[in-house]
Amino acid sequence: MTILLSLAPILTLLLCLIFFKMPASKAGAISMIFAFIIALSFFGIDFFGMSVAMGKGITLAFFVLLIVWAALFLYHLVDDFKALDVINKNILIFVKDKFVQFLLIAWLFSAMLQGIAGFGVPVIITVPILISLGFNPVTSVVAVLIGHSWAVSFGSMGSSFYAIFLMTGVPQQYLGFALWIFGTTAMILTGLAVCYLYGGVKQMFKGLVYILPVSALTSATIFLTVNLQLFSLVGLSSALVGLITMYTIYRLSAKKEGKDKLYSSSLNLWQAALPYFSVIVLTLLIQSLGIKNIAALSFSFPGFTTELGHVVSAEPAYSTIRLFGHPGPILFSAAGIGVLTYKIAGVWDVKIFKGTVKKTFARCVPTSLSLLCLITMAVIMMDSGMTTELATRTAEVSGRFYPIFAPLFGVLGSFITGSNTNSNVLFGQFQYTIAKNLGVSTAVMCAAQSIGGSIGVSTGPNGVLMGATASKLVGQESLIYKKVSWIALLIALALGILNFILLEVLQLNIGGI
Amino acid sequence: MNFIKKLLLSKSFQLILFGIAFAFIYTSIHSGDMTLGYVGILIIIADAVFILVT
Repeated sequence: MTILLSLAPILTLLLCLIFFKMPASKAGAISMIFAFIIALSFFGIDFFGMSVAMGKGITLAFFVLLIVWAALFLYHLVDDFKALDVINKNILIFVKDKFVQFLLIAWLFSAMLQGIAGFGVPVIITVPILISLGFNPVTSVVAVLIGHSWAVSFGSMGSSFYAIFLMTGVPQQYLGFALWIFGTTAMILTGLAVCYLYGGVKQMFKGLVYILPVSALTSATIFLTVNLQLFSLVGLSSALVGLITMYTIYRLSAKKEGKDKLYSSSLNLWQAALPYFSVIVLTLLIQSLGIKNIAALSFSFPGFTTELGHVVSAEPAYSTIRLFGHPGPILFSAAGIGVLTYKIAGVWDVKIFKGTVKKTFARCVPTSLSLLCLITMAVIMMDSGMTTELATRTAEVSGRFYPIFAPLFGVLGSFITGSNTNSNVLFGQFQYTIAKNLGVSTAVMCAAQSIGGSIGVSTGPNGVLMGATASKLVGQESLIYKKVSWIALLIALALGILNFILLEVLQLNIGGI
Repeated sequence: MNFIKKLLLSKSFQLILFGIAFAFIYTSIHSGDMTLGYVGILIIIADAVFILVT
């Protein structure tokens, strides 16, 4: 009974989105009300606990919304001053093959951005580029969501990786090696999925020419960086190597048609792309200067225990927003650099800028409402013990076959919270305990959790809503969910089978039990 | 009356309501008096209903 009640808000959300084709804001509002009623009636959370959960939900949503608003402002600025047009025309000059453009941007360029910034930034930056190159909006969003998901676990300068390490205490080296196995597999599977989205099974075979060599070199890079213990650089370096490898293969196989000349309008390529370069440079600069933790805003919340005995710890610094560590201020600074560049280039116009601000506002408000409802629902589920109940019961039922389902918990965590880091925080310790009980490698099981969370980010509310906002599909999120859910689940299931083979068939023991 | 209806159904106002609810909840959690916090919860649920009917 309790497992059904725990599932009810998620099922309601899926039903509203996929079957009733409701906009995410309405589906989120209904699911939040459901979670609220079930948590109060059946999970013994009192009104004090509920107010703490709702307060946490709003602060967490604020953290995400700051990125959405900043990223959309940057996108509209670049688009309105015709800089995006210059970038796109130059991509067309360098990569003429539509299939290669699609795979390169959705699978590798987005993964490189994930390596640096994460938090939905790859989606909000690459989706508009794909759409303006002429690709279908829904396919573009789904391809980017799936395409970059292999890199999430090592992305955002390693934040998800550090989260699973902190939650479980499994040595980083062992976790890194186990994640290397899963990461390489996920990379191949997501690459194939992007090819499938482009043109069905036939394109998957065509894509192997790029996917196999790129994955081999990327895998070697992951192995090397893990070996050197450069965990925060694994995502960025591997995606960068992948990007260079794929472009090199394309250039070697493409017919030579004379020397390519760069396209310029009132802006040249350098000026047009400067705001995006600034995001990369500013992020790396902040990392290397070590000023990430200066000037932070955080909220404190007390702990409580529900009537059913679920303990929620106090949070002295919840959802910390660091001036130099949060992507929002970095994206706003990049937009500022864009404004300066356009002024210097002589294309600045106050009227256009006012339009940029208006457009950003009009597109962000509905997205903000959806995110507030969905994240609040997620925190109510976590703090009332519904999520723990769901996980515990499934583990009891599945027994020795549990490793197959382990990545699905990672997906569930990311589906609810929209973040691999949060998914690892939510289920990391749980997966560790189950591995101990089953007598299998904790490092492999925790890596399976993290890679599941990584793939699950493609189904999370943040990514889907950012994708919908970037592709002007707000209100039609069901179209994205319909396509992205089954691909993510299939990949997670394949990774679960790999996990089962590693743990139960091969009895691989990385770092002991 | 029409103005109030329009206001409640405006998405910007619904967003502001979340902010007001948070201010109420956060203040009451740290002051020890939960009255404002309960009002905050009510605002969020009412806001969800407004979102549904918009």
